Amino acid sequence: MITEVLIKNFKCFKQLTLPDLGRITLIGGRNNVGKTALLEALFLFFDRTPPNMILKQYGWRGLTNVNTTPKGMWAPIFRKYDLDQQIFISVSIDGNEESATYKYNPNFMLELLPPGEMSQVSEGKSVRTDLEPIPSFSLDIEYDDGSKSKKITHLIISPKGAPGIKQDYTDTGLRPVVFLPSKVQISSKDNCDRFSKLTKTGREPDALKFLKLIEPRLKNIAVITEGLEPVIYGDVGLSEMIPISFLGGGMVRLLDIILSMAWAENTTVFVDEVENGLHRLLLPKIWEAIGNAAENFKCQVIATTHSHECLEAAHKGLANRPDDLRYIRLDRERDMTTAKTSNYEMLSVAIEHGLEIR
Amino acid sequence: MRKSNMPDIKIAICPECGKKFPVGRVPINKEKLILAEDRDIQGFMFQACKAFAKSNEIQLFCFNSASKLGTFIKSLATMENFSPVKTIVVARDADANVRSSIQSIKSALERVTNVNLPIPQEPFRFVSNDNIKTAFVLFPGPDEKGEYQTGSIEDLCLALVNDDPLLKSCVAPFIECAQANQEKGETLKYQSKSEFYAYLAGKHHHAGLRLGIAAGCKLWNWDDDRIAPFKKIIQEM
Repeated sequence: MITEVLIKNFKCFKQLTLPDLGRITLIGGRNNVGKTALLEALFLFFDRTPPNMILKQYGWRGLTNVNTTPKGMWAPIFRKYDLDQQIFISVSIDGNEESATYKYNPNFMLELLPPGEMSQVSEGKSVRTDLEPIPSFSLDIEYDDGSKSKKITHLIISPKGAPGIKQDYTDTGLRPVVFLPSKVQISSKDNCDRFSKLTKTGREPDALKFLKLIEPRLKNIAVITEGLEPVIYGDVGLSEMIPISFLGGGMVRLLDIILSMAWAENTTVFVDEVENGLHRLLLPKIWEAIGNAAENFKCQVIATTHSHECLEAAHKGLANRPDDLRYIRLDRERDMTTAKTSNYEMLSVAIEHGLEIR
Repeated sequence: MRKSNMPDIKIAICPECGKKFPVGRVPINKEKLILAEDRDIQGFMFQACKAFAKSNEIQLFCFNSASKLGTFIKSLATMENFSPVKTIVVARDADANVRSSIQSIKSALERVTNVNLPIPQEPFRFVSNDNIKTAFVLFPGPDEKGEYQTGSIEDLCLALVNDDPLLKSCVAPFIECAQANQEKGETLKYQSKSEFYAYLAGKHHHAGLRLGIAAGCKLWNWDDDRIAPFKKIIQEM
């Protein structure tokens, strides 16, 4: 479980310290204070193998295209778009401190020869002997997990403009964290993959029991392929099973969250604007379900919210596991972002007294 | 203070007394805070602030229970606009043991670990650090010799209306009668509270009012010497 975080020079954060995260951590604060950016930084820290690790985050923000230049591809994650800075993310996981440093490298040597300098001859290709290597651009990422050897990854933009990745190590300890963006629907295939993982280990009843908290009629869930994509269906006592999405947005959202938690067993699920699609009256039960699932899957949930009702519901729904809950309000004072942490007892007093703690 | 960012506070009107009060969640919107143990102390201190022309500068909160004071301040410290807060005054009853009450407040302030608060050692005295100054007041306040008295806000209010003949002619016999008619072995536990509310019940315009509301009804002179220590603290905030 992530218990402490330090972020430097990532997006809006000059420096942000979170000293005390819980198994269920809610992040609040005004618009544009960096709630989503915090989740993105943490997710990026764990998301180490895809060449599109940064690009896909732009997609979650609604951006469909970027220029394949360092400025277009990487500058947006640097504070003030300044590629000369170094991003530093440090995370304490179960007492072990790990870190990652992201540094722009304009002189990364990937390709020895410039493109277009080879020509076809009858017996193969010919190449000039006086060519000098030309640099590619790289975002050098150095992961430090406390072991002797540093793990270096290069996100690359080749001279031809193609994005890629080169890793100088093989990581066997990757953690399957999940990010649930606020604006982008989880694909049916992803959910089916996650559900299938549960089925393989005979644990689909675990997911079912959490979903039943908001839909007691639900007797069974299954992956059914009709047409091009597999879809999760639910049995609610009708003559045949129906797509789970027909049971309402709340059910879909909870399914997304629960399956993500099952997938991210022993690691973390990041949920942006967790209350999206959920009726306020359902929220306490949903938090109860999330709390139970977090214990069941030994998973941590870090979620952002704008909603006081969501916060109160988490307080209510997690009443039987108060030590698990933290609320962190981000605030920006001049140039610095600060994090104010409330535990369950502080939340109780704030809610009882009607204090505005968002 | 970032006034432009302040959320609106909705105001409701009490159907019983016509008083306006904030509803919904309350933000911090002043740099000087009084934290009152209960609604009556909050109402009294609010009226005192008004009487001393300080109500525009001071925001009052109620922490409801002495045992929650530390957690209440910790919660306040997580709120937006706490960092500009310059002064915090805690107001509570001295109860049956002045030293215990003082110790209780000091312990509560010491438990506030998310902000560096200076800890006053005695009531009615400010202490400060680079960021904030703090004090606490105890009701009913000091006697003529300056000794801190046991008791509650009702004791102070009774003292303030001591000249009203209603007290001697009506309230005193009532309390005597009430004491005599308690169940075997019992006495009125909060006699001053019983006395003060009996007194309000005997006033044509004040029957049924809470002390905190009655404090705004000109029942006493805010320049009374017994209020002076409270006045001094409010003026020095």
